Amino acid sequence: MEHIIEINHVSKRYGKVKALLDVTLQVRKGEVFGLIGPDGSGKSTLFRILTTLLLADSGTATVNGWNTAKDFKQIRRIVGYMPGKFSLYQDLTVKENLEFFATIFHTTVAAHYEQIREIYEQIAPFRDRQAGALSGGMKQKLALCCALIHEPAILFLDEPTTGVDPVSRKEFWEILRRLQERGITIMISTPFMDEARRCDRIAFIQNGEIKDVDSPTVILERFKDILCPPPLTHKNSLTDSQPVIQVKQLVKQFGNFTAVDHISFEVKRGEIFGFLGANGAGKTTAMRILCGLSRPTSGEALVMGYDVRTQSEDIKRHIGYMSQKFSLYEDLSVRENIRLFAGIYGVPDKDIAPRSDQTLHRIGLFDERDTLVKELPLGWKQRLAFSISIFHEPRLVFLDEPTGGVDPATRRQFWQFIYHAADQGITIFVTTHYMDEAEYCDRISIMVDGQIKALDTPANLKRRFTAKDLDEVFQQLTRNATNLSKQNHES
Amino acid sequence: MKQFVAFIRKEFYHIFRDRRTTLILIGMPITQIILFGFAISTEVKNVQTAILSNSPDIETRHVIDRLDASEYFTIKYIVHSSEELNELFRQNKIELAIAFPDDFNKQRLDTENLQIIADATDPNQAIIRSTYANGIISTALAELRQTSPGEHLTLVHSRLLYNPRMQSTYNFVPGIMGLILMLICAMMTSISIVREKETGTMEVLLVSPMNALFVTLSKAVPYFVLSLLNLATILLLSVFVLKVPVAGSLATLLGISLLFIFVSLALGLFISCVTRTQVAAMLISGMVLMIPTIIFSGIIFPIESMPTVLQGISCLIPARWYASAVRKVMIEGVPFAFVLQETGILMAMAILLVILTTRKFKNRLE
Repeated sequence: MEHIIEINHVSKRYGKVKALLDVTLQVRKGEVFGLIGPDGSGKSTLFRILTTLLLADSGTATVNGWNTAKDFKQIRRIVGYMPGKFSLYQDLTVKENLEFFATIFHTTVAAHYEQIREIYEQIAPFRDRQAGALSGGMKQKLALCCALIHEPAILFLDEPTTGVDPVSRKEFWEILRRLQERGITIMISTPFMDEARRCDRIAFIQNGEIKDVDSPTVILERFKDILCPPPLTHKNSLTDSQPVIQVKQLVKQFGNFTAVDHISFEVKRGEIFGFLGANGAGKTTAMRILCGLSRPTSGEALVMGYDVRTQSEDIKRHIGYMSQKFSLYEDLSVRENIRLFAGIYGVPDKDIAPRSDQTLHRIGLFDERDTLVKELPLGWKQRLAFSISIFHEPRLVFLDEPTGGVDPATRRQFWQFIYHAADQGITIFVTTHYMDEAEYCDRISIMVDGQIKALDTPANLKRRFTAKDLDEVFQQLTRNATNLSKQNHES
Repeated sequence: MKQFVAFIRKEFYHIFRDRRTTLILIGMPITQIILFGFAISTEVKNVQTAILSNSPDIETRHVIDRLDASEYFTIKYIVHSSEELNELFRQNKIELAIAFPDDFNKQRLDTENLQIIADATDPNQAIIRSTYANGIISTALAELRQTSPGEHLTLVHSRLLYNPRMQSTYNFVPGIMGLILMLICAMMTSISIVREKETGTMEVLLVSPMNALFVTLSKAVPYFVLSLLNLATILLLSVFVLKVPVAGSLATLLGISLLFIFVSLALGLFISCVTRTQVAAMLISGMVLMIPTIIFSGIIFPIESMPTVLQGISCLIPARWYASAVRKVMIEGVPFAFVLQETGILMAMAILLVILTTRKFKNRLE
């Protein structure tokens, strides 16, 4: 079998941090090769070395027979690359983005339209919309079009589906499969295990070292402790009928577009409530209203007895909030972050020291208490951010995609902390794109086009939709939502 | 070439779709010129003046009339005691006062008998105002002496070259030109390049057949075009609105401006090579370029009156040399030969910056 990528004993360090350690790997021509590993394990570094963006400290790498250190000009002609972030110009329209990338690759959209036709047709209705106004799934399709426009022989995709809903992810993989049929070699990294299973071979990488390379089944079995941890079991004993959140006919309109369309639900005390939906279905808007950050257009919402319309300050004082985007100050130490947020939420000074020690011990970060947050792995940051969000002992905490970008084992660990908090009587309101996490919730709601289409326990939902897992339930519900309405919700 | 055009088109989309950028690029030169031209003025005009006099004779009257007739002074009060005068100063009603002796017409008609009192809260202004007052009074007294025969006193005549009406616009227009060109070329260029690093699009551009140096250069072109537009706006505004003439050769002026634009662009590219974030690029161009440019280009403070150390530092600021050359060519109207020093220094700076930038430039990340 011919190898199109060969990596021999490549090492790379940034200052003191070892990013890659003696990595040796071959990728066969025409295969879909997956790179699986926790955040910070060196995946992006490896992609950047192969795309000639970084030089390895030692070892050699060849792509299509060309040396990445010397022949970068040749390599740059034949590869397509999608970096971790959506590498589009947000203020250019779909069409302008595509034309621009076609031109810099010395080609035209017309010349290679066949190459991208199938994907482009899905986004063509929005060709005059600025890329920044597209939903996650659409952006990703556009970015893929841009990476494909010059007919590359090899595609490097660095976590292309992070933050993208399950339906769009599935469509994305169908596209990749057809690209493979046309002979394109694909190297892809992903935090999703269902995607890992779709690869021909995967490499498991941890702390900069390749632990093993084999077929997905073998790797997932061998490293199942990390990649496929056994499901958590949680018996919720505290739930009583007392509602913490009551929402009645809530509507939020932006101009003539309805982001939240008459939703009604209740969350009971001590419950873990999963709030699911595709990108742009209205989850974030609804959550903002409940946190007192945004006013509803009409309808009613009571959060712990406070009206979101008039008593938003009371709400903010009594809830915890953790979002993936903003959570911690990177240049403060672990303890300084706790001290700061405790002060912001008005925890009495005498309580802060003993309670932070207690928290640090519980989340296993006591030895790291004086480390700057930016030096912690992502999973640890998330754990810390969560502990901080419940430090002032709120009765309700909102978690907005708290576990993005980390491996299943780390996510499972995170959920153990959530369960611990729930056992203390804290109500958890959580959004996520991971269906295995949805299974961990007591009840889940699935939002489509601004409306709640389903609300029940995971078990009941699976029974009702005769589905084997929640992923299938989600697919059935959101499949019908047209791309068009998805688009409208984003803007 | 097609790549180049595509690049430039994209860059203009960025500029015109971001309202803030457009506003800075188009609005800034106009506001600056108007602001400095009309609001901030170091000229003496309509100074609120009081007269202390107890002799309503014809000589006193003549001097007062002469002062009042000038556009510099407005006589607001005529008082009869120094207490009243003090009170007026204390209440901030006047900025200047002239005290006449009681028997002014009986004394020798000379300035030494008069007292000029100025509010020196702003020392520079106080000195300028009293000098102006002194000048007008001397002239008025000389006129009186000619009508009263028997005395022959000569007056020293001073003549002001190039800016006979002592207008401060003549001084700041060259400085503003330096400031705006520096801002657009260095700051906007560096920010727009670093923004691509931040959003990750630079990674994709690097992994393309485009030469990285070509990418960077094409990012500079739109700002070059815009700075030319701005140069034209500033010149038109100063000539037609502020009435500052272009005394020297327009070609020389444009040539030097092109050279300065080139230096500024090179600086912007250099900054973009050594920074990773937009904030860093903004801070460097703001603190290291803008503030010294304002201070050292002679818009507000004359370089000649600075301590030697600061004068030394000012030599490193491109805008200082540019402003000096523009002042010579535009206001004094001297031929090119007189600005050889400035041109040479700017040229050397350009070469140095280009060398530094190509050294620092990387075809890869990091």
